[in-house]
Amino acid sequence: MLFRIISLIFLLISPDYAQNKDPEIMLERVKEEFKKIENYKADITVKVDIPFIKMPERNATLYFKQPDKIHIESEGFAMLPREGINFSPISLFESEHASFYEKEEMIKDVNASVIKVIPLNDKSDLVLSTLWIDPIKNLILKVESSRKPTGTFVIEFDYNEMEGGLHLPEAIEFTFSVDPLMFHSRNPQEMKIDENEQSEDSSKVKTGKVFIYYSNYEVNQGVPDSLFSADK
Amino acid sequence: MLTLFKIEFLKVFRKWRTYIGFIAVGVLVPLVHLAMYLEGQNSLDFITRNLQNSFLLVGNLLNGYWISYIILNVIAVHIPFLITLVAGDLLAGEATAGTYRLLITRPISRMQIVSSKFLAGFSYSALLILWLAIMSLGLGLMIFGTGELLVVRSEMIIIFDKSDILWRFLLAYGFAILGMTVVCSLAFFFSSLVENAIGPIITTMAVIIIFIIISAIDVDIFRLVKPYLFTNYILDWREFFNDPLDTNQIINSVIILVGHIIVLLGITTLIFQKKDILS
Repeated sequence: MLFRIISLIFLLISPDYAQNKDPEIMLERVKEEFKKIENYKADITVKVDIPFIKMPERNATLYFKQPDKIHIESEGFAMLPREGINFSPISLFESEHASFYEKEEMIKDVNASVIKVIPLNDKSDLVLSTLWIDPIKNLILKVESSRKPTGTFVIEFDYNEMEGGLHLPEAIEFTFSVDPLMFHSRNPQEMKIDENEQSEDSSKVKTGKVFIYYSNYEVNQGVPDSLFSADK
Repeated sequence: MLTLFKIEFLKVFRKWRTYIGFIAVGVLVPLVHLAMYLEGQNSLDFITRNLQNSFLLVGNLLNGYWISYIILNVIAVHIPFLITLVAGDLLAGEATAGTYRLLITRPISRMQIVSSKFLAGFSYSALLILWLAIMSLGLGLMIFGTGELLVVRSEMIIIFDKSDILWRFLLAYGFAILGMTVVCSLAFFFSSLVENAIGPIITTMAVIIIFIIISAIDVDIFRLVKPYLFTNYILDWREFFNDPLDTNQIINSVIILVGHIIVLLGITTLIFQKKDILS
């Protein structure tokens, strides 16, 4: 019994265990893993499930280049969540922040490490982020983030293993709060004259979801900078 | 009957005032196109400003469909005034010109006269809407091309796929023709009561203005009256730009508008049948 207790204490204070639970090291590993993807091109399908908006499923081509350059080409009109499509672990941890390890939690059959990140910069839009990290593959499986003024959003990632052991999202589920005011008409022609006609339910904040499915990845095959210059 | 209609149709199109509506649409719509060409993106950005805080909007929403939708929204309210210019003159114009007696001494029934004149008025209304469709949708698509249609309703934003839009426009224009036919019937009815065209034109305009104002003021007493005002149904072409389509509301509006046409035309026919022609 005594041997077991001593072994446990030894295990807990051992540098290796401490390193495994060090949130900064975990975040650094995630960052390093993400940096392996210099650029990619992928076809995306966007499905919107938002209470105050109706949009058909859209297809587009997404171009990404480190650190956070994004360019989207679509034949038709597409509406993509800024936080979901633009999410980059590098930008998340670049500014001064404090992080701490919270617990382990099973998510998508992975025993994920839950880490909280609090920015220390007052000017940051980010209030708090909780990350579910796969400690073996060093991938972010889920992010719950509170931002000013957009509110809380959750991004869940499903990954696909590419050639060379790289992991890129196969599907992203972006969940966020929907303020009905965001969708209220600015066009006086469309305003309802009779406010009573507006349902009481329509004033409540609801939850919206956007699903992005990725396919036909072309990873690290070069994406010209000129593609992103028009988006600036 | 066909010959009679052709004669009435030619009579309508021989008058200068008939072309006022076509000229107005022909001048106004290209002006809107020009304004949209120069400022349309700003207007679109204003409408979608709230959305842009949270979403990346990719693609072109400033297209012929969107501009035609805006034009239809803005102009459809004013088209009735152009309809009255012609419809108010259909019967009263004969009295003013002193040709009533000459007309009914021909071997045709009064019913045929009323029907052919009404058909001429209906044709004018339909052609005016068709002209609007050509100018806004046809010209709009030529200048701005096709794309998805953004419809901002009071509680909902709907984006229609470009393959799902044209039929909505065709039905909306069809519905607009029905609505304008009600206005034509009303002006035609007033035209049967008097012997000067100015009266029916002004009276029809006054009725439409009063009905629109009553519909716009949100007080209980007016809310009770609202369902009985035909102006409340004329703008239901907008329902074709809803998802899902509220077919019950569309059918209800069609029935009410057709009912108005039948009743007004029936009363006009009765009045004209019993009219003592003195001029």
